Amino acid sequence: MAVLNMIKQLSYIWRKLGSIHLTVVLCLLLTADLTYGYISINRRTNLFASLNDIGLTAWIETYGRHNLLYTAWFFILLGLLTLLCINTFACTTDRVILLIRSREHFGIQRFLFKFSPHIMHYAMIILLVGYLFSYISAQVIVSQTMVPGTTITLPGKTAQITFESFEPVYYHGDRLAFLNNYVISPRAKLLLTDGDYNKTAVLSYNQPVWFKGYGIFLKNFAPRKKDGMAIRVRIDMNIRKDPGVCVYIAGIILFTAGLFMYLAEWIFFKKYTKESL
Amino acid sequence: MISAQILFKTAAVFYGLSLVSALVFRKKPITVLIFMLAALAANAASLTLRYLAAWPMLPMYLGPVALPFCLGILSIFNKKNYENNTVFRLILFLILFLSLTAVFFPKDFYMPFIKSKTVLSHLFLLFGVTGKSCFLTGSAWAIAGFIGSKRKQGKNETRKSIIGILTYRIIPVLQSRYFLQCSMRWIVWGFSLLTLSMFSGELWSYIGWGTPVVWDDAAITTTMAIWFFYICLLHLHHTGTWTPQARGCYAASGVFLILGLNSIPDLGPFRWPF
Repeated sequence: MAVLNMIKQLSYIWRKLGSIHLTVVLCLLLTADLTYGYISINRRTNLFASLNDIGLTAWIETYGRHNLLYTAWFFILLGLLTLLCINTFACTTDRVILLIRSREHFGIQRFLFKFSPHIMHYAMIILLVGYLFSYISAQVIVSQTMVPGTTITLPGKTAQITFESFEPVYYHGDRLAFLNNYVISPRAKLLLTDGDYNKTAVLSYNQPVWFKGYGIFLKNFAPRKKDGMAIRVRIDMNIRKDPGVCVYIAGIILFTAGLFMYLAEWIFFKKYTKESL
Repeated sequence: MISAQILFKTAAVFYGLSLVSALVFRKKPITVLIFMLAALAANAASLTLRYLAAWPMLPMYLGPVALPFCLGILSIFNKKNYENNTVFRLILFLILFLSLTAVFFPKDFYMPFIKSKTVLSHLFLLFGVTGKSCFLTGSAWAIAGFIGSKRKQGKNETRKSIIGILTYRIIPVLQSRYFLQCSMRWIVWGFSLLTLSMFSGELWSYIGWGTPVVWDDAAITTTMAIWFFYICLLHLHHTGTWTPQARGCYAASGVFLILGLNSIPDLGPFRWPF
């Protein structure tokens, strides 16, 4: 009897967690919270800029906890997103089970397209989990400054990165007058070594280098002008080991696939009939 | 030499003339179309000049100039939008409002940055602007559904809930579900394009900075707010949780969110344009 009661209670909680009313309330709260977040970030950009580098746990212990007037919305955002993930999982799982049970009513093609919203729902959960995983578990070596000829060793490895030379592409022309003789494409030549393994790679903006599980991103460089002041050549790099990347990129791909399936179903099967309204 | 700013001001004048022509005459005169085409040509030239001044980088704060253009294209090249007078006038009104805010509060003085030299940044802008144009068009259809309603409120349409009181007793009754149907079509397209814009932005953010979200830019929160707002509407629509009247009100209110969260962050200081 006690077991039956417990099952009933769990079933009730599951139903409530998967309720569409909860989805509506959460989405509206998220809209309001993010709007407030815009004001907070605008007023205290520096508080949030560090979130890019130091990871979520360290950020909460430092900037987050001590500036609650400006950061409270972020904690609320985390709570609301967690609830939304639970709500999405419960709701979608129920609907997927129902859909599988009623598969005889649809042709195979229509049946597959019916999964599109559920693919998007599961993809959103994967995406959010990937972000969380990324912000919690990423190992970041912030602003590693190097001059030509210097070498750094990756943490806990024998792998080394040597900054060999800086070969930027300068802009010459009248169309972008403000950029004349300035670097338009910074190109840093790196030598990646690990024991007998040797490889040369070019690091640039939007062109990271991946090596032994680490992503190497160009953050800044000098000099920026061809005939400007004599500034020593240097590059600043962010080196990150981020196991969450694969998860959220998988989420993006899955969500996009679900979205295209949803659009295809909507266009080809004319989902919007009078009855649907 | 003619500048992008002058061309955009010219476009704003033609958008205004087009709206006046559409409002004065009951049946759409040919001048509406002529003024609109002239405005679109000037707007397109302004966009081209701004792009040429930045390419291969992304011009900064191009949204306020690109959004009226996208809306203009949707208003005259989509048969349903063009043929429905109320919707067309509403879209024209939105275009003029956006154009005037861009003329009086320009933010086009920022130089492009070389990290934006990637196809992902251009996709981010393109999908974002077209997505928001679709949302605004969807809102115009929803608002049009409430304008000139001749339907009387039936007993069974009055609800005792707060949403029922707000949407049935205060706001006029939705004249036809057809308007909501058209509105939702645009909103679905808007949601799809905004999602693609966000994903392009996230991938750009990853290859450029190494993180999925760059927290230095507050605009990410407004985009996410708009996304969740329309996720809510799509859920309401697909599950039929609220009545068509309430959903119509919700879809119509999206215009304030888009204008508030999209226009305000892109506004610069007041500048007298002449």
